[in-house]
Amino acid sequence: MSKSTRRTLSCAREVTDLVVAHYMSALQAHNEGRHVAWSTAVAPPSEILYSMGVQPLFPENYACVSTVMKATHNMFDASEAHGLSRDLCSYTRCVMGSVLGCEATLGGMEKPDVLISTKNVCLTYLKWWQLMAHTLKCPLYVIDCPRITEEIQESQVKYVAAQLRDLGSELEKITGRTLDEEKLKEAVRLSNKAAELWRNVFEYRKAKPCPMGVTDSSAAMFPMVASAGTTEAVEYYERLLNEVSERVKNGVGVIEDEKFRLLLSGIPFWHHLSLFNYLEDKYKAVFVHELYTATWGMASLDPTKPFESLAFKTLFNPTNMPQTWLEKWVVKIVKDFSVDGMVLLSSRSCKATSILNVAVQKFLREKHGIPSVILEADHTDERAYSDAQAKAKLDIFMEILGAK
Amino acid sequence: MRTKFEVGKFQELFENRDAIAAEWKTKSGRKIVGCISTYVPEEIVYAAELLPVEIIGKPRTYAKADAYLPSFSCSFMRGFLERLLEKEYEYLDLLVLPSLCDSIWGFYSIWQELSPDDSTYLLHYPSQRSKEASNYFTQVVERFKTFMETFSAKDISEKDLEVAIEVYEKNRRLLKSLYELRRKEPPPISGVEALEVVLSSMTTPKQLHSQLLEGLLREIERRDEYPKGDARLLVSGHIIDDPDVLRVIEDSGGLIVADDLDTGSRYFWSLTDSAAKPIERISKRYFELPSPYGSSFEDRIKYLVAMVKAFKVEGVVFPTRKFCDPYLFDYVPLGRALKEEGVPSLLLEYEYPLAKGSLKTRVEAFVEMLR
Repeated sequence: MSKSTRRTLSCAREVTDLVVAHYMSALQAHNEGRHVAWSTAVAPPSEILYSMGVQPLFPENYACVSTVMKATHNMFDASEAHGLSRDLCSYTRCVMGSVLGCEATLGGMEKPDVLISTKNVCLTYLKWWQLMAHTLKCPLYVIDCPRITEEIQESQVKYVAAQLRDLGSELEKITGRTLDEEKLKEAVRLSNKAAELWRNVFEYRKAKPCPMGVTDSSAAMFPMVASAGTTEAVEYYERLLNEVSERVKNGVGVIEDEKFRLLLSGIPFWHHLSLFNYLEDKYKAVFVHELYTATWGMASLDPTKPFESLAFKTLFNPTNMPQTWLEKWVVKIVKDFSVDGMVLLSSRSCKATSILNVAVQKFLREKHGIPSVILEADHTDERAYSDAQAKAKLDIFMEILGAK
Repeated sequence: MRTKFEVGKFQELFENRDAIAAEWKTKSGRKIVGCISTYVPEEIVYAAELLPVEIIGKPRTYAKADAYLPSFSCSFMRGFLERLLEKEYEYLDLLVLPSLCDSIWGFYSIWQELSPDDSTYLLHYPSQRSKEASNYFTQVVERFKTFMETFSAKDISEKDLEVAIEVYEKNRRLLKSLYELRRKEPPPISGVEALEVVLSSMTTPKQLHSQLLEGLLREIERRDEYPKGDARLLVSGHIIDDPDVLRVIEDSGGLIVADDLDTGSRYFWSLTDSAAKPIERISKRYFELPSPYGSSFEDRIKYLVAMVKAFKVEGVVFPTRKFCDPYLFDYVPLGRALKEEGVPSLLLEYEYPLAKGSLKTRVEAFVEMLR
């Protein structure tokens, strides 16, 4: 196999430091007498939290970091010994291990003063957060989020917005700080700006050769998850956009001799990100878009209506939208990004991101002639993964796409 | 001669549910609505003069469903999809699914594409218990009523709702009376039989079911042989649409005397609060059910422990389908809370085809430990 020619973006290299700083910031918050919230990661009310000086942490990200660091095994063991089935969300099993007090990555997450969850991705969000609240004896606030069956309804936005207002009042009680609506509007403005920049980065990925692949994208999404509503996130995406646009201007791709353009669905198998290198190195195949990383920049926010905007953002994410919407979205991406084929990652313990894959594959093939392959493993639990099997499946798929 | 009401009648009702529904449809000329009955306000469907029936997912194979749903979605939704694709549910005119879990959402999302327009309705079921969520759920139920009015071409009046509530409350009270008899040692009815009574209540026209149930209540204590077992058990969990699951437990020395099942006490135990307006009475009742879909663990524990005490339960079995996330999660705090109360419990994971041998071995060992 030829040597990796990937040119990692310097912005992607920054992320390791940002991650460490993020976890340290929770420690710092407590030292300064501020509060720490553990929140679900897809469209969390970070903007409200940052505007009130509450430091959010994201257990899903913690599980992801632990997996990349290959440090999940004893955490899984602790969870399973506590009674959690091995079929349950591997993010949950990883984080619960740490919650239950076993030796954990970065010494564990700084303990929360409040837990915030919503069901906008999965029921697991609710159950996992309930379990943490029960175990840590920590207050839990749940934002109920209706599923979208056709279009997002005004009544649904109003309902979620009312709950976000309630959350604000609850946080005022817990922290003793007031929610200043002007500060919130500013946080929403910053969050909107970061999302817009992130979407623009994706626009540049339409270029041939593609300036950014999945490995860099999976790193660069971190500030979208962790820092929505801060100046730091806006500055980060300005730098990233500059770097990506420079590449496009100079005709530089993330790898040399790009031959295939792929679309990714699902959560990366964090324990084997090397699988992406395999496609790049052996087949010159580049991921030009990922539904997963794009999730964090979906919604436009109106700072003059902060609660309604955040409600809309909570509702509008791919896992909360119906299959019919997803199909249209994918078909448009395939066209706009000149995609040759799609790789669907199925995680046995993540129904939310995986349950539609078989149907989506069938509909894409039969109705739109789009080829795809499904890899079944687990995003966090390495025990459910076979590298040889995954590569063999990709070999067959690339052959179908015309690789010699 | 007096009609003898046998408990076997309810098994028959359940097993012949498709024929009964089809006959009801021919006779009445009205539509039939498939539901996940415990979480869908059936009173509204009844008030629209339609027949709500619990959907069944017990599979023979998943040959057709496998083309759409992966092996790690729950076998209830996979099995139900198989039945739909096998055209075994042609008499259903509408499917009403509460937005409970990720398997239901996945199924709904796919079925929307495979089925004709407007033949599936997703009913939002709230994931928390605040005032805000309660009010919103009342709006959800109001909208469902409006939808049903259009769907059935019948206006639903306050009076219609009151009548529907009465019909449903009567059936609930009768089911409760039957369950109350199970406090006795030994109980006059087995766990499998009780399950068949509840399942048939979910699939049979309510008034007919109540009438038969009244008969059963008059007769049941006079039956010749009471069920036997070595330990009084409670079963806790989701929809059990297959009596064989409980039969395995009772064939292994367990005597099921109570439950905390979606197809058990959770379906009928709580009644409506008569003070409010009909639509609020209905929505409040469904909103407050102690379930894994929005109640606190504490509420579920309270309900479970109360049942254990009231029915002198010696051990709790959690029969749980593989890949059923909500109940697999709840087992963790529930099992631990029972342990604190000194009540042993067993998580009995199962999948189809049922591995009866190994399930039996596990239950036998559990029962032996209780003796």
